[in-house]
Amino acid sequence: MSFAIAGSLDEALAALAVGARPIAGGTDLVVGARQGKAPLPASLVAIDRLDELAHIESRDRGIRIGAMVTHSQLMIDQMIVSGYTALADAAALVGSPSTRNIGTLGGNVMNASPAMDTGAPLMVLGAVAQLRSARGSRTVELSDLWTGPGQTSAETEELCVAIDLPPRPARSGSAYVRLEYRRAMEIAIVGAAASVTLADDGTILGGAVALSAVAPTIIEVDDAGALMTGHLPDAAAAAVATAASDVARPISDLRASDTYRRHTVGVMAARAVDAAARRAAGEEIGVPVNRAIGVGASR
Amino acid sequence: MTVRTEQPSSRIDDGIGESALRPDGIAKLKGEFEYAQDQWVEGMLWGATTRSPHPHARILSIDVAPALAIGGVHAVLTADDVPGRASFGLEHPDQPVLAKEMVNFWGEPVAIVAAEDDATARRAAAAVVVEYERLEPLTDPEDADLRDEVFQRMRIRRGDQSASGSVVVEGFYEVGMQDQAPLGTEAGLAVPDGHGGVDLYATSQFVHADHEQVVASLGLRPEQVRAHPTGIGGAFGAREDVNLHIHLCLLALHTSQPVKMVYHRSESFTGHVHRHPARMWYRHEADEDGNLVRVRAKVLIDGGAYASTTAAVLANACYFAVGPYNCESVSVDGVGTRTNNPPCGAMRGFGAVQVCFAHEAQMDRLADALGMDPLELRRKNALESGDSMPTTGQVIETPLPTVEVIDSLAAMPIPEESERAGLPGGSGLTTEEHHVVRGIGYAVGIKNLGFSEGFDDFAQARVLLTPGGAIVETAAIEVGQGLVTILAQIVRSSMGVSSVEVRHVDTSKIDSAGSTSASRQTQMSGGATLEASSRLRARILEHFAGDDLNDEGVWRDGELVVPMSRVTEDKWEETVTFRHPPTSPPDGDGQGVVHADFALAAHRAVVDVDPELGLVTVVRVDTAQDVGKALNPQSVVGQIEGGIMQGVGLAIMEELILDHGVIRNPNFTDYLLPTILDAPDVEALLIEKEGSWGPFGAKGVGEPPTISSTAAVAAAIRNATGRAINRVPVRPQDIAL
Ligand SMILES: Cc1cc2nc3c(=O)[nH]c(=O)nc-3n(C[C@H](O)[C@H](O)[C@H](O)COP(=O)(O)OP(=O)(O)OC[C@H]3O[C@@H](n4cnc5c(N)ncnc54)[C@H](O)[C@@H]3O)c2cc1C
Repeated sequence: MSFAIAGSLDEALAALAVGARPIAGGTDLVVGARQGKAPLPASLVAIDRLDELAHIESRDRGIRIGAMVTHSQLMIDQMIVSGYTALADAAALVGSPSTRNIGTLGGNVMNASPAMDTGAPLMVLGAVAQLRSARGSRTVELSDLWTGPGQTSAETEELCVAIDLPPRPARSGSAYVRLEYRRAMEIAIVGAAASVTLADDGTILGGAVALSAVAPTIIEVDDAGALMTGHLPDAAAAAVATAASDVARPISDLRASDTYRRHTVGVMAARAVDAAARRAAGEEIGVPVNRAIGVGASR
Repeated sequence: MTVRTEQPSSRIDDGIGESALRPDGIAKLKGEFEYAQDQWVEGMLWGATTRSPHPHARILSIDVAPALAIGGVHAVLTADDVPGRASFGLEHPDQPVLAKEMVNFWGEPVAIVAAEDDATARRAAAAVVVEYERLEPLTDPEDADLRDEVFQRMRIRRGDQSASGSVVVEGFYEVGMQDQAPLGTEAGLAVPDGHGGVDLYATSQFVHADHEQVVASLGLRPEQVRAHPTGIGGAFGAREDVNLHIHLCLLALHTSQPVKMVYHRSESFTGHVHRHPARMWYRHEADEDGNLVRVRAKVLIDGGAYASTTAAVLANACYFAVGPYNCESVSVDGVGTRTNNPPCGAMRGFGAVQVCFAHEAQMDRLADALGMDPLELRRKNALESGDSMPTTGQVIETPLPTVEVIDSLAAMPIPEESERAGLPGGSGLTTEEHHVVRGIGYAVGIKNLGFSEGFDDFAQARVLLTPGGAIVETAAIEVGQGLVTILAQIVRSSMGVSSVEVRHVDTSKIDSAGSTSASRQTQMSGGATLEASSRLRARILEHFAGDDLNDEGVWRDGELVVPMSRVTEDKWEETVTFRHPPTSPPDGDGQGVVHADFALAAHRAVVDVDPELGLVTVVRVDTAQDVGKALNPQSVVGQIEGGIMQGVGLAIMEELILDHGVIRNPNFTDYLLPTILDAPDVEALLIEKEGSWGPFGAKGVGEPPTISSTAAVAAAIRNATGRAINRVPVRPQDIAL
């Protein structure tokens, strides 16, 4: 087994070009190997020292989040908390404080778990992934990136360098809700993210809803925007609930039956729409705070 | 045996009744304490285990050559290499040290390996080629009952079997398989002594029982094996049975090198016994006034593949099937089945936990049918000191303040609706206040203390007075419960000397202290320590014609007559074997004086439920507990808080999920334990009533917190949702769908 620490982005890309796999925080890769999910790759290149990938920056059109940005950074960053709140909600729920301190957005996205928490928020916020290899760069829609559990359409030589998010329209809000059985160290049983933009009369102008842990990948409720548009949030939430239960293709596993998931994903989607609409209307609904350490973005 | 408690005249710090600090506490907090996992000696090898991937199969062949061919591998042993008794077991030696012809549960050890490092040992264990012929596993315990595949049946008949009442409630209840999930996994080190014998330092609750089983399977003389107590990170019943003990000794003697083994987490889940899952059918009959007239129960617990302590667990389940209530007509039929599920054994509150969930649900149903307040029904039927056990007919002679416990709990303030402990649905935004309904539930539980049914239950302890202070020597195991603190407190208060050290000594240096289980060590080893320390003090005073003893020395009429330095020029040592009041085996109807003592607790749980999603937050659990005398109040509260956490876990999340005998969730990702963020607030009232035979009147306190807390949480969920809730753990889908 070989392990190299990349000192620059080019070094990392060069290593990938000859078959190395990137390791960021290692919270999926190493823990998964220990659990016997998949052995550690024969050749690893660590990208955790690439500071250029560890920033959240405002750009002409929206923001760019470097792949090495951690969940701890996301959950307290003011741009994220105020503009892309659903993403902060999700980051705040990941694992434990130590998982959030080393687990990265790039790792979460590229690990492509159907239960990943940042996926549904990124989707409703219109995110795209920036992939780069020694041969060039490309931009990929998330719905094209995730192809199955643990599978992406990225080439092995491609590194995800950043996630780009478009600017938010006025009177917009977003939220991510996760169904979990305990208060820490949990995996989404189901999750739902919603993004909503309100018209002046309080009806919904547009939005999106995406779901986690109810299909082989994160999925978008395709007609959610249309279902919500023109309606007051309550009616919109009810319509989305039915659509979410319909579009879900859940499995039965240790945590829950498919019937329970199908039932709850509707409830969760409705609650996500409700919270997103209230945030859009200016209501303060804080990002989850970790009671254990008393930090979080909640004001 | 009664214990003299004639005490020194001057008050002493950190004596009985004070919350003395744990001598091992700081080291544990700082990570400096040596647990069994931390042991290390120069030149040691690492052991690993080859386990069956099938719950039931015939072994056609075992080829160890591929494992032996790996560099660094020193030994690969199979059943053929066991020189002595081929099997072991705490009550019946029916479990193979290594499987020979058949494997009977998933994860059963088939071969063991010693190699130069852990990774190599595990690679070698995986390289052993075992050819199996798979057989259909028997995994449904009701099926096993029908086929008479049982370890034990139990029958209790008391009173007029034709009695009947006008108000009748029936119910079926189920308890899932809980795991002790101690933070420290099974670990140990065996060191050959160079003369054919071996020293074993392994996780245990009962080193003398390990010793006996190691001696038998190794075919050695008892004096050739010494089992040493070692640092334990939790037990809860998982460490009473042998697991890696014989394996380690076999490998060490075979290789003539020290061998260490540490189970990984997933291996730990298969490597120790679990709480018996149970199915229970109940019928309660009462008169119009709510007096219990007849209770009939059938209790089925699944023992899994091997006997372990199934007989004792079943006996407890049957003896306590009615709970702490008077009833003159009782019929209980119990069965402990044999299947190809993982073996089950004792876990905190063994047997009593399972039936408490059922009898308390029945009492609530009965109250409902009678239109009576559930606490009033319990008070009315409360079993108290002087009454006869509803099952065995034994007259209860030690204090049993059931009504006081219930009344004290009922008098504790009920939290305001606005008092929250976070909302259901975890730490996220899932649930908001308007989604939530509140529920409150009560439960009362009872269990025996110490060993019962005529078992010769004893504990030996030795107390010495040396120039450095007093020393207690014992083979009783400190599993984290605070035994070392209590024994020192007992000596301080009974001898008058403030510097006391508790030393764990091996099986060759002292007789058995019995198991650290059944809530017994404070009463048993505490009793032996008190007796030894009191006798030693009396001998010293007599020798020097004094009337008091303290750190300075021997006093007479208020004057120091012999300084301590002079007192300890002589060798002072006293060894005592303590026995609790005798018990006897039951007759064919389960009748007799089968128990030595009882303890009782009542719990009130407050829950918030999100009924649409089926999610539950346990807001708080308050309790009143019969403790006899709280020797160290903080330790008692520690047991209460921890026991309630384990009870809450069983109520809403902790379950080993089996699929045809295979454990699907042998890890902490999928076996959900409540985290500290899920911990409810706990208020505890300690009810002290003198009269038990334990030191200073103390009763065991470890198990009662787990017994009725589960039932109380289930009752609270019923109260909030109106759902029947006849199974724990309660799954969200049981509420939401
Ligand atoms: C205790 C615990 C709790 C957890 N809880 C949660 C949770 O609540 N929610 C949740 O969603 N996840 C959870 N996780 C999973 C994990 O922490 C997250 O997915 C995390 O974001 C992964 O990031 P990482 O940097 O550690 O990824 P790594 O483990 O380093 O990498 C994961 C995968 O992505 C690849 N990769 C990493 N970075 C890049 C990149 N820039 N470009 C291309 N490929 C890349 C790696 O090769 C690997 O295949 C938990 C993990 C643990 C151990």
